[in-house]
Amino acid sequence: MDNGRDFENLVAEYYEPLYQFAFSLTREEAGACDLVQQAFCVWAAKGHQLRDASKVKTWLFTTLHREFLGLRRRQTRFPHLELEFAGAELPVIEPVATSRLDTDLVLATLAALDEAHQAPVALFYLQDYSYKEIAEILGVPLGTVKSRLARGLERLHRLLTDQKVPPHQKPVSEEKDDL
Amino acid sequence: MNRDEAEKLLRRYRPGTSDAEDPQIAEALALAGSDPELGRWLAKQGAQQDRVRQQFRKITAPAGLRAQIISEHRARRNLIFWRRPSILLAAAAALAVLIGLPFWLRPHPPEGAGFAVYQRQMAALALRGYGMDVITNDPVPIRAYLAQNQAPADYRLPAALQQAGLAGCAIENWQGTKISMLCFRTGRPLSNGALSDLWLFVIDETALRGAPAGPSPQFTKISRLTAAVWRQDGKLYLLATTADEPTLRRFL
Repeated sequence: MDNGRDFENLVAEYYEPLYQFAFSLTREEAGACDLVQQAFCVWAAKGHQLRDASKVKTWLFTTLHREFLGLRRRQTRFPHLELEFAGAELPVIEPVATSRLDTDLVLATLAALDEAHQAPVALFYLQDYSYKEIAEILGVPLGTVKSRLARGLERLHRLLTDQKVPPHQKPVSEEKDDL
Repeated sequence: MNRDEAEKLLRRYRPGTSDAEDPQIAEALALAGSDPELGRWLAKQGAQQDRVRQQFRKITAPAGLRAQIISEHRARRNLIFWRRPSILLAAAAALAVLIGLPFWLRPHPPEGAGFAVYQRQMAALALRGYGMDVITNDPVPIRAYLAQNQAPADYRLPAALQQAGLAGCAIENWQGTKISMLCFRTGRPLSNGALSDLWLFVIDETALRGAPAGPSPQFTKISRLTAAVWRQDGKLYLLATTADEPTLRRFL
């Protein structure tokens, strides 16, 4: 499938939803772009191994999520600098459009959830994936997805209703998933 | 199922999707249909979900991301193209052809001329001077030296030639094939500085085209030399001397 035309069609079809998923996880444009690019890069190298063509979309989302988890592990090993020490190195960012403020709030609230709940909730809203598809993408059992969604959605809605979520609030630690 | 349990389940219900096929959600939906309070909660919940969903779907990829992914893929493909084993193999083959082309395009002597050229070169070697690698009249170290240097060493000398005075040997080269050159004396007076006047050249017969076939010596004149040529056991023998043919025949 990796001839040039097929690849370009694949990018045209999936880069936008992949970016939405990546941005909902990272809340940062450059990081999201990198994740999307990396997902397609992995596809170009290994996509031919996928036998079921109907699974391409799921495969791309799974790959992107794995890349995200890998990136986060590396960031944990090499923690980022506090802003006050890195201010001179930061790029100039244009002011956020007013219409994005609500999206920013929703994503900040998502980031405040337990890490394990963030990806299923994002997929729940973004793509209308079935529970089974979300389970396939994230590589967890169906029951786990259902319980994570139930808890994640409940907390998300409660936090949004209260609207007390600071942008960098630490994730709330929650009880174990039901399997 | 009570109302609390139903609410918990319906939080993950999305109208218009396959969520309703989940038996638990289907049961909770049925309860919401018969419980007005739960029905109102579900409607409110659905409206809130729609608002959240709209915010998620406002996320748009930056302009240029798609083009960037495609252009980087093209660049990577081009790089990978050159690293493919088949391409590298083809490039190596083309290089080999280019290197070998001058060799194949060089003027080739006509069929049968290979042996004539060989004779002339060996004659010139004998007449213009040569250096012996081993100087001895003992045939044993001569064979050992030739064998050690992968030159023909399992030659068979005619009985008469074995009686000639051995002077030494050298290893020469004909188009990449080694030649054993054995130097003898006929017994006639030698010219100044000369160590021998009878030479036997032994070469693998497959290295030469157009050489006379058969074990019987064929006599010929090469420049100022008299020569006899024969084949035996896969080898081509060329015995040459500055003496005349009758003298040469005495050693065959």
